[in-house]
Amino acid sequence: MLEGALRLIHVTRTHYLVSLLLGAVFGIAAALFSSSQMLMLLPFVGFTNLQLGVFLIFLVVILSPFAEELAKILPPLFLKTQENLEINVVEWMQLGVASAFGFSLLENLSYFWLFVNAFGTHSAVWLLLLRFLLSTPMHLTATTIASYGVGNWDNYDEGEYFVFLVIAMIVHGLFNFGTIMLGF
Amino acid sequence: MSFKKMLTLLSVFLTWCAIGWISSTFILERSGLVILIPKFYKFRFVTILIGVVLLVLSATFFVISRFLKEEKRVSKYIRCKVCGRKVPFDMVICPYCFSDIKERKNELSDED
Repeated sequence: MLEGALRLIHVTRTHYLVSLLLGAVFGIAAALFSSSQMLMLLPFVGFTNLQLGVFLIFLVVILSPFAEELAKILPPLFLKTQENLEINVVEWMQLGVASAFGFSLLENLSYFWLFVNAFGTHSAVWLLLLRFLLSTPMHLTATTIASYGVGNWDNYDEGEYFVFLVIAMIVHGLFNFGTIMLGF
Repeated sequence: MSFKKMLTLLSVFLTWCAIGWISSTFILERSGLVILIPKFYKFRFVTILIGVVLLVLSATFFVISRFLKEEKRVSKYIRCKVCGRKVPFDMVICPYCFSDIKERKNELSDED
């Protein structure tokens, strides 16, 4: 029994696949969180002098990056706790990238569905391609930064590495801000 | 992962980003939604510029990675077959689970 309790498992290719799939699953959770926050906070826009545009910027630049970066880092953490994995910093980053890729795949497909309804199939296909070229690398970059911090915290127990999670959220937020600013 | 491989991977990633930035306005134009963006041609110039910078960076990393020699990694550790922990190569018994790791060493010497 003691041997079973102490046994640590090393990262295999299956874990990367599981991380990718879990990234998509946690992506749904993050999307639900963002949507629920929007629905919960939207009535307050009516009671205050807050403009709808400012509220949407708050949602897209602050709330969504916060939820999404946490969601993308959860699959490696889930694997570590449930599978008793021994993960070094580089493996943390690799699992994070796999998770971010799964997350991005699901996000792109859900946006594709939205674009089809809003602009038609022709435009939606081009916008899907654009998302794969611009949004997916951003997700991979942000999660690599975040998982570097969490990996260091996990391996060396140094809490100050959590600043990398904040940096990842800022990178994500800036990208979202740039994207919505294009519309103005 | 070796430094050479990391640089190659980084250059591939930067090429991906560069293609995205350079083609973004052309894709928007093809999608038929270009009317949403004012000062479109100035915007196109900026995105192409960013893309070219990324492409130059990517090419630099790729060239550097070609000049680097592949590191021959000699591990000072072997993995215990029973518990899976890293154990110094010169150990005879695993210090974690006390299993005999002599067999593993023999396998390694046979491979050599």
